[in-house]
Amino acid sequence: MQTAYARMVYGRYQQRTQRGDGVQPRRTTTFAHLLKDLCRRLVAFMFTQVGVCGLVVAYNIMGAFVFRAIEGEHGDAAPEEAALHLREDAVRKLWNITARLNILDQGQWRQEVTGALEDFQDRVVPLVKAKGYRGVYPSQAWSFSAALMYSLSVYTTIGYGNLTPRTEWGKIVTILYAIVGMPLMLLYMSNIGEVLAHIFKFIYFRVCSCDVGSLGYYRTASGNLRPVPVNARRGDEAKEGGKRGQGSRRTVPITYCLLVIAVYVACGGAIFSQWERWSLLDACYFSYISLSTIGLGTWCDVALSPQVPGRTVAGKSEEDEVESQQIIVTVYLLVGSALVAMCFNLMQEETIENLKSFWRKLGCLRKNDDGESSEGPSVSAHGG
Amino acid sequence: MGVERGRASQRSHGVVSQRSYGTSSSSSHGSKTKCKNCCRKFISFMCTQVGVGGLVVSYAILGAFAFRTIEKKGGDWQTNHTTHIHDDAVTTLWNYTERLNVLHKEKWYKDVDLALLDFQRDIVMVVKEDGYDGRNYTELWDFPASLMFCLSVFSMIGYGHMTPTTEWGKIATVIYAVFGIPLYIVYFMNMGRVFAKSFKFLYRAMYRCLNHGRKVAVEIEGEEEGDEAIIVPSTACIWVMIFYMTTGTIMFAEWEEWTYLDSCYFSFTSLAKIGIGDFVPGFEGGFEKASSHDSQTKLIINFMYLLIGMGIIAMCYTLMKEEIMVKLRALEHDFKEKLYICGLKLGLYEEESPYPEPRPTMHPRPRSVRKSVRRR
Repeated sequence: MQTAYARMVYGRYQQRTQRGDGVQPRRTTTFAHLLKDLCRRLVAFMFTQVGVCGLVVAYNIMGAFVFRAIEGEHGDAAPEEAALHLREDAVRKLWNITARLNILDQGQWRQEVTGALEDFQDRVVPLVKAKGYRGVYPSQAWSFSAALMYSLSVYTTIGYGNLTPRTEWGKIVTILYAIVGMPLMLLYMSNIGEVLAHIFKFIYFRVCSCDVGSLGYYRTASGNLRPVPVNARRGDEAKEGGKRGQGSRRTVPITYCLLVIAVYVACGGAIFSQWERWSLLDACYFSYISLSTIGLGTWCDVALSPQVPGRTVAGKSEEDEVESQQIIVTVYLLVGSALVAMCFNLMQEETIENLKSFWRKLGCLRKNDDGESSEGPSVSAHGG
Repeated sequence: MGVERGRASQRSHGVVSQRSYGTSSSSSHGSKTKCKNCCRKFISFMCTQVGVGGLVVSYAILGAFAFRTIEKKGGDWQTNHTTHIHDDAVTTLWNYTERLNVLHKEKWYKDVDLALLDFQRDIVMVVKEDGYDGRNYTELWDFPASLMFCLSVFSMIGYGHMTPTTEWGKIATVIYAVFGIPLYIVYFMNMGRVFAKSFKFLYRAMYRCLNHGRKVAVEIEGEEEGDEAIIVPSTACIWVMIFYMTTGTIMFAEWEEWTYLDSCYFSFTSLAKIGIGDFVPGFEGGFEKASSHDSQTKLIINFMYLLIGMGIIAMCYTLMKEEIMVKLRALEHDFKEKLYICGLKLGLYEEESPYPEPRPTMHPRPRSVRKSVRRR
């Protein structure tokens, strides 16, 4: 937030102090000033990349503890108990059938038992659908890593829905958590996305300027290894970067961005298919659905794991492994969302450039008109 | 964000210039220019609000039909699967009964309980994994429901109350999302702009009206020129959002017989695109509520509610961004001024330094400070 003016003033101040001449006024820059400075630096640091990262992670962990406390320890286990009662009822009914039919006639017995079982099933299904029966008691279901996944899915707006809050306080806290968390996530995305975009561009142009021949589309100043080259781009026509000589307006083609995303999704798919014994299609589908924040979570319950990655049915076996897996998935998603933001950033630039030249071809924009088409920005302005 | 806002203003500029250019060029003849013109008109119409809205709705409807046809194939397998589970369970029960020749009640209870636990687990798995609902597929994937599914995919809500089970369904979902999400974002930004414009207009009219009644004519003159500077405060946006959410809350609570907390929770999580999916209108209970005609209209109204709600959220987003930008600029100015005063106090520069005035128009405070310095 340091503006040019402030920087100028500050520079003058430093010059004075360094030179040592001039009337040095009473220097009251003691404790209060130090504290102020510290404060300012802290705030400034919080808005840097590391600070935002730390903030997001800390917020996530905090959320995990809070939800664990609310839902895990004090959560109600009504659906699980209801299921228990239902089962007891069903057993009693079956006993009655068996006792009544003194002579065990298999045909009749089968018919009646099937009826009873269907009845039982009809009661269990709504329990699962409407009440969110999980088959695991809350204290088990809301393990630390599961709560971590839940809070991630809330503030990234993925919303898997495999774990749902049952208590009233859980719902209220979810709403509040999302209200604070989503702006934080946006901040994270825009911040990290920008940084990653810079890095990616840097790398891309390094590689690209090494073999210009293969990428003739970008006729850069050949042999120029600087990351910020002069505006020697795209030959004679279209000098969009004309305003300033900054080459930072050079864009990375969309296909590369898509490739990065595709590779990331495929990597995730490979890892998940190993862990969860999903088919490769299923695993890729899962990571795509998660990264695009659609989050159709109920699907992710394949044989071993009725929850999102990890979580066995009984919730007992391989507990540690499952926990670490879930934590890794959390990290995967956090990094992935930053990567998606990066690609958005890059694609936005590219799209704007393309649309501009497109409009110019159509003759809607005059050559030097810097205004943008009505479509381009709206396509790409999502980044924020 | 700052960049974005700048772009928004540029954009409106661009549209205006583009239109004026178009009208001037239409006088020239030739089929090529005509074609160009036509193309341009079509594209610019598609970028208008009506075009984008229509595009989104038709995309959703198209998706609904597509998923209906794709997912219908998965139905047979599922019913087969459940009957298979049934048969298995009955067979195990029969085996238990037969083996324990003398019916020892407690032992029998224990065994049957275990068998039923297995059965229940299987059923739960089927429900969770394949979205088994007790209804068959033609009922489940009826038109409004698949419309909701499409909405939840391309708007990134992702309720997860119904999920594609076939392989083709999954592939189609991915492809549908790839095209749908950018379309949705266009819609979101467009709607946001339109709503923001109209809301601003309304707010200004109200503001002027209120002030007219309250203040004397002298004030109004000064106000007229500063008309453009009236920003909608973020509190107003928040009120609109709260109002919209309350409407939704009451509506859903009445229809679905949820508690108010639940329906508030639902409308928040949907509008914020979280979509946890433990409450989805029209899907409660599964068995009791067959998809009647009534619930279908409800689902469609719900669809409209969500689509418009997204627009309103976009509006609030736009307006709040504007306000924050203005505030930030004011803060910046304030900061500059304060820094200057600090510098003066520390005696960093004299009165006739090359930067005497940080900004020409200021509150009286800096002048008094400067005076005091001079006195010293």
